[in-house]
Amino acid sequence: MELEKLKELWDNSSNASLPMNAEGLSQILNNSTRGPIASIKRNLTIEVLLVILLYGIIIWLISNHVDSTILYFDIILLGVAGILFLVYAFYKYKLLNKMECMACEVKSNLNLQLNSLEKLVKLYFRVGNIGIIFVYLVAGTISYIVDAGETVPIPHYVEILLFLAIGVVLVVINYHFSRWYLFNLYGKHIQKLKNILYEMDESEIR
Amino acid sequence: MKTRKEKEFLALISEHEGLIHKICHVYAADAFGKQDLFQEIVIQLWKSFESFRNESKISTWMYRVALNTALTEKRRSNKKVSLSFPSSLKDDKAQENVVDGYEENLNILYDAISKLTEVEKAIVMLYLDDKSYEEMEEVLGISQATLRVKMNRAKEKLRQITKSIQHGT
Repeated sequence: MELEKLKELWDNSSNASLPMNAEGLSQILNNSTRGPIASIKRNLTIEVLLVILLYGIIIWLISNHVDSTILYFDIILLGVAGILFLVYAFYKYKLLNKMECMACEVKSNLNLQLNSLEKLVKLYFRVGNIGIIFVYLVAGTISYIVDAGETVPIPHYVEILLFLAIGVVLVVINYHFSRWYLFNLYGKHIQKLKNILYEMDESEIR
Repeated sequence: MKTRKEKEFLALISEHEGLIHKICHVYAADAFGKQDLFQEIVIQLWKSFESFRNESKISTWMYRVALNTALTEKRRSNKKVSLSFPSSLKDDKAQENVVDGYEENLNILYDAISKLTEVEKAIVMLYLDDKSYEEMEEVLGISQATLRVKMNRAKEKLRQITKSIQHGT
């Protein structure tokens, strides 16, 4: 088929789909976007809400059920963890808000999305890996304070070595799990963006 | 109750709906994918409508938003989409019933385009819509020199593919 014939076909193809009525279009405007960035934002909001809920429960448990001698220490640790999470969530929101410019040139929007997504994945990976070390150490310290004075059947240094060994195993598992999880969540999308951008630049490279 | 702005937007979309349908047809794999993508493009256009300052042509702005949406969205094909999508959009089965010479050729065209890469699809679409290299550059952000090289390659590829589809090879 000649290209002019294809152009003619293309011109007429607008009529191949029946137009939508105004009501149908208007209905669409009330729906929320299902784009990847909107999904990440929604997930982050859920994360923040879950943390707030979890914090509420923990604070309630500590103030009502736990020995008051460790109360002060716990509150400080929880406060630090809470602040760190808020900093993380704020930075992530900031990154997400700058992540796309749908009315910009396609190439610049793809570049913007790719760079931001890579930053986001790095942030997620680092926070996840540092977070687990922090949580593990805090949990260990709390149990050490709670169990202080209790006799254990194994020597003290073995107890510490065991604690550290379990910690290392947990960190290694978490490291590989995070890599696998992040690749499944964003890896394919990042690769797709890279391929498109590579193709856009291909002739310039040659 | 629709606002003045909403009415303005809906009129604009109705006027250029064909462009969105074409992009959906080219980038989505199945009927559900098309509905999904159509909805996503309309939402994204609505979101960026406020910032549209008439600095570029309407079609340039629409192409940018629609292509950005189509290229960056995660594919959700073969999955039932539970959205209240009006039935006015013809589905593939309905189209099959009205196959004649024109429909057959149109199917060949879409079939050929589907075999192109994501970027080639965009370039070919703009070419078929008679856009100048300047406008293509404004939409895609690719230099005109690069576009010319890619365009020649894509046109040749399209010619070859349509020929092989027609001859059933």
